[in-house]
Amino acid sequence: MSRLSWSDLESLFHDAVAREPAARAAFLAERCSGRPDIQAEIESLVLAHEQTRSEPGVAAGLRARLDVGAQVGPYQILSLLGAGGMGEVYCAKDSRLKRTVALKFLPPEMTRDEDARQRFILEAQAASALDHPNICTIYDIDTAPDGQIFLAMAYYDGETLKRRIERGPLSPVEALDVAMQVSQGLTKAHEAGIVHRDIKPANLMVTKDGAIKILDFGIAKLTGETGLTRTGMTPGTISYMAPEQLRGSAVDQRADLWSLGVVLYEMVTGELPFRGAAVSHAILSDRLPNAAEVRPETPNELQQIIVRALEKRADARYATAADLLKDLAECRSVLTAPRPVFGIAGVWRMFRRRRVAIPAFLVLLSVGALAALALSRGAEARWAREQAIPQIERHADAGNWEAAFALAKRVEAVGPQEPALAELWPRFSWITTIPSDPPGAKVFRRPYSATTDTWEELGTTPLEGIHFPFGLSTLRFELDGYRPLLRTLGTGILVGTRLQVASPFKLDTDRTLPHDKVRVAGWNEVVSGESVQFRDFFLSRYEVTNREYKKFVDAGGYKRKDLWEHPFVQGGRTIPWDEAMALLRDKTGRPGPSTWQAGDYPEGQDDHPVGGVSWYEAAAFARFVGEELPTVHHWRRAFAPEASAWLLPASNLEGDGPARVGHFRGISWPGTYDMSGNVREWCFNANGDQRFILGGGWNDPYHLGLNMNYAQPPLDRSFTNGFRLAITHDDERARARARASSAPAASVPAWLRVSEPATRSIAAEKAVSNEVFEAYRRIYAYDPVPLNATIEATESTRHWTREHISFQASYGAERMVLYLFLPRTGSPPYQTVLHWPGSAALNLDSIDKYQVHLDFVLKNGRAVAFPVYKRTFERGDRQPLPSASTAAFRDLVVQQVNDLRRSIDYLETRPDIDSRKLGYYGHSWGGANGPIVLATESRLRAAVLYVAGIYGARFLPEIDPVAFMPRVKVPVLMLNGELDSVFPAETNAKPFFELLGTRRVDKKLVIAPGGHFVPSPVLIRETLDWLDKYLGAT
Amino acid sequence: MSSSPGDVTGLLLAWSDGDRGALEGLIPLVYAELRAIAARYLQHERVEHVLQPTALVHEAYIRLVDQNRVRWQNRSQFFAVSAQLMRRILVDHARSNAAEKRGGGKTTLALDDADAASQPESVEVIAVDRALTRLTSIYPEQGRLVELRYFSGLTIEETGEVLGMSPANVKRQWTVARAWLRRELACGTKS
Repeated sequence: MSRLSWSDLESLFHDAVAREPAARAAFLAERCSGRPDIQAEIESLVLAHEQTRSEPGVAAGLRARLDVGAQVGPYQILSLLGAGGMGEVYCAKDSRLKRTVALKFLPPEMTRDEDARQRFILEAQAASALDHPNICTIYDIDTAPDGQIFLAMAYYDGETLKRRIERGPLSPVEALDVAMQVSQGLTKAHEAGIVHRDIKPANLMVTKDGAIKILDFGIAKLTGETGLTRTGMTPGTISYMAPEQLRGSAVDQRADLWSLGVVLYEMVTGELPFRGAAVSHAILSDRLPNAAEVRPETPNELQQIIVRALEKRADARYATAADLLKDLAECRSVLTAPRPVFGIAGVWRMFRRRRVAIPAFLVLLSVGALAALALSRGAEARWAREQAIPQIERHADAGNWEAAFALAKRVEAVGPQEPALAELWPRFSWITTIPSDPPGAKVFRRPYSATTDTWEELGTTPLEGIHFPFGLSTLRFELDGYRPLLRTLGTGILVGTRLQVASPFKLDTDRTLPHDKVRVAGWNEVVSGESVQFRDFFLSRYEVTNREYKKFVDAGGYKRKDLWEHPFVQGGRTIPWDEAMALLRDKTGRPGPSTWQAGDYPEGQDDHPVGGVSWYEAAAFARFVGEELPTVHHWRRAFAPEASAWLLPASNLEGDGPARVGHFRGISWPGTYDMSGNVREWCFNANGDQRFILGGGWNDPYHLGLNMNYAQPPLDRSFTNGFRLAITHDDERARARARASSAPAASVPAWLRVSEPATRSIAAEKAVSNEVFEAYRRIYAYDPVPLNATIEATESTRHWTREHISFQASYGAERMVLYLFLPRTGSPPYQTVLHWPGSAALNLDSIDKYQVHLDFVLKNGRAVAFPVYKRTFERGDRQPLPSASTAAFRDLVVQQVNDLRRSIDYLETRPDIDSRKLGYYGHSWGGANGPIVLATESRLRAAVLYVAGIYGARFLPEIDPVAFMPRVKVPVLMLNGELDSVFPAETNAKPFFELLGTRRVDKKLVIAPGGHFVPSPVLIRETLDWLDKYLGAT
Repeated sequence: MSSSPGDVTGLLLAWSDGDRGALEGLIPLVYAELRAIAARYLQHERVEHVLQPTALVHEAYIRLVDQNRVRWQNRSQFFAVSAQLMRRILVDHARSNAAEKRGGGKTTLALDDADAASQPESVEVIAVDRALTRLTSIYPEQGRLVELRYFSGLTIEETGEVLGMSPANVKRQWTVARAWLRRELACGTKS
């Protein structure tokens, strides 16, 4: 019997784990039919996995654990709260004082040694003498019957700061509050001569009232060892250790202040300041990163505090907790003071924040206010020119658009237009117009990934021609008498200088929109080969919650036959209603979701999504409330995976459990929460004998959040199965079409017109024979004709000179256009990169509206040749493209490829171009077509394909890139985004890469964080390295 | 036995620049340092010796590598190399220990799982080594992943860097590989 490959093993394992235990056996029996050995393998692995999850810290039965109900002295064990780095913590009841306590057991090997025990008891005594609202109170220290020492401490209802930070960074004020409370606790402890030594978020408790309690005082000194080799320490702890601690030198209270500085940085940015494999190195030698680089809204005062707290030399830090507390308090009061109006006070503050040297004469406030203002304006203008503008440019280069935008706004506020700023705006922002219906609404914006509730007011609609930063933003519209509207706007796919808003944002009143729904505007879609017009519909903002579902259960939903209108099908046969109801039971056999017990849901989960329901239950519930399950078309329309790069990381995927609906910040464009993650959502449509269930659940990997075709048997009751409701208003025909069984949606870019996308199985296709391929290649041949080239115009900017050149195309009597960008650095003859843009070029009428983001290539002394391909820019004809399966489309592709080759013919006539060193840079559409270019044109030496992949559609073979991929021999670099929804990494980018005929050592695939884009620094670095390597350094 | 920091740093840099021979020179130096540190730690009189491979490797790193000269990629590679060496050291030590003490005083490993809030578990070194060897013989890539995670304490992200995988992918594989290892430790070798 052959052994299972790892990827099969892994995928079976994860699918099995996603199911409830009861359904697992059946699932595996079906998937592994005929291979009982494999079934046994997966079952035993899942068992091992479960044991890990339910019994943290136990391996091979080496450590006994206390059971619920066990009695330890006067304490009765209620539950296991956690197993931290320093032992297990239980929640227990003190039977004498009738109160809840926390019992902390130390690991046996730490206290078996008599010396260690004594030391520990002394430490505990000292710590228990600390009486302070921010220090966890220790009640007692005792020994369990088996000899284990434990502490009895106050039980606090809340979560650790670690958990809080995992949910996202804190606002600066919140972080300051936490830090101030910790400082107060530390002040008390340090006065008593006690140094904590292990300040970190896992040791800081945030109670329900927002009070901070410092845990584990004194335990850190337990083993008496210094430095790193302390038992029970995890790598995470190293991150918080002060340099002197790492070196094993003497440690005093200033080490605690360092650790608090790290915690402060982490609270504000969500990241550790020092990380990596050699975090110890980073702590000892690396420069402290600027918190504002990670979180642009970090106030400068706060950054200064962090800098001082994290000085490598202890004598340069805050000497005492009281000193730190003072600065924290001052910072907090500055932040919570009302924003100063532009005046002397404002000017002072601005200067203090920006650390500009304050001109001496400004100190003399006796000078008339007006004069002082006039002087300060001059200083501000200088600041703008000398400091802010270069900083904006640096931000733009690094892809920190929000930071560039925020700074640019400040420069704008300073005064008259800086010409340098006008030139910079397009590097990090679009121009856009935001209309609403009705107009007159106030619009607020915040970056999509921001976690603080600070909104920037943009103005009142209609907003005409405003700057709007790159990336994804969340907008809020407010208008009296109307419901506030939450929407997203923007993208990371940077093409065009204008961001188009498809139609005005529609505001609703309570009368026009149900309170729990959002409106999704109508649209036109091709369904099963026919064009269908859908009308506006309403989609629930949230998934159906436990509380809502309970109403259905309590009203006898499982007894009302009339609510269950669909036949129950199991294993191919229809089963009667009674038999089906017998299957739809909770853990205790009562009617209800598989995640419930005794007809009820777990305590405290009223607003958690209901999970563990079959498709039938979802449909019955929908009928009960008089609404519907959304069809896949409606669901997908509201989901729009293009924002995947922002949405998925902000969603509850690959998580620990379901969250309260709306808790995770990932919203979809119409303002719905948790479409991605939390629970999977049943849709109406069937896919064969299964039903679609989309969006992924908390237990699913990220890529399931992008899978628009996932389906499960309708009786499947995995605990991540849930749903949301919709109300549609389509006409009969549209409704019928939408609800009919749906063929899977393939990954086809929107601009490609196909009658029905075919799902390709690339693996099943055979490679084309050489003879046949040569026939394809000959289609691209053209006879040499004179170019008759003319340089029509020349334009210059700081970084390049652009020539507008026209010459005879290789077909017909047409002339084509080439834009040749020549660098201002380096010297001729120039290496040249030929560019094939993304599909936006097919819809823009001028190259001036296209974001040519190849500046970095030009700045490095290479030229960029940008042919205007047929039907792009000024060679467009405002007609829709021919459908992909037609001869007209084939001819067009051949002409477009030959436009590039013709451009190379032209470049060969230029003495200032080194035509032996030509590279190719294809973006999206240009990347997907890359193989055709690279296999037919021999004069290209190297290629970079940016966010390319295999098209989901079928083409005529002579223009199908897949046929050309094995014939590509030149070095190719592919750059793809991990969460790309247009060309998903696993299914469209990797197979593309594998098919390329280039030698393994000359091709590279980089999958970086991102969607249909990768972060600028990665793009720039990888591309330049590649060009340097294969064209030669410039 | 101890080397001057310059040697190791230079070799590390050379190795990352593609000089395969540098690795040959690097390993014995790192090995010697790791052993020295481990031995120092194990000197303390204890009933049980619980070793923290991560902490030991960090200490070796601080001592051996010239902080000012290395790039971040070098650091990950250092830890990747150390994982294998660390494992060898601990197994050797455990074997010699077992021979001497005959049952009393096991040498256990604290296996760090930085993502779980759980306490590092104590597992017998020799058992882990055996289980890991078996895993590597069947699924070599995943064996390497587990080795990196347990013996040099690389986080999910760093393991991804070293192996050239996305963190999500590492996490998925890790979940399964860890279950595999636990099963192996609990049940021993199946026929």
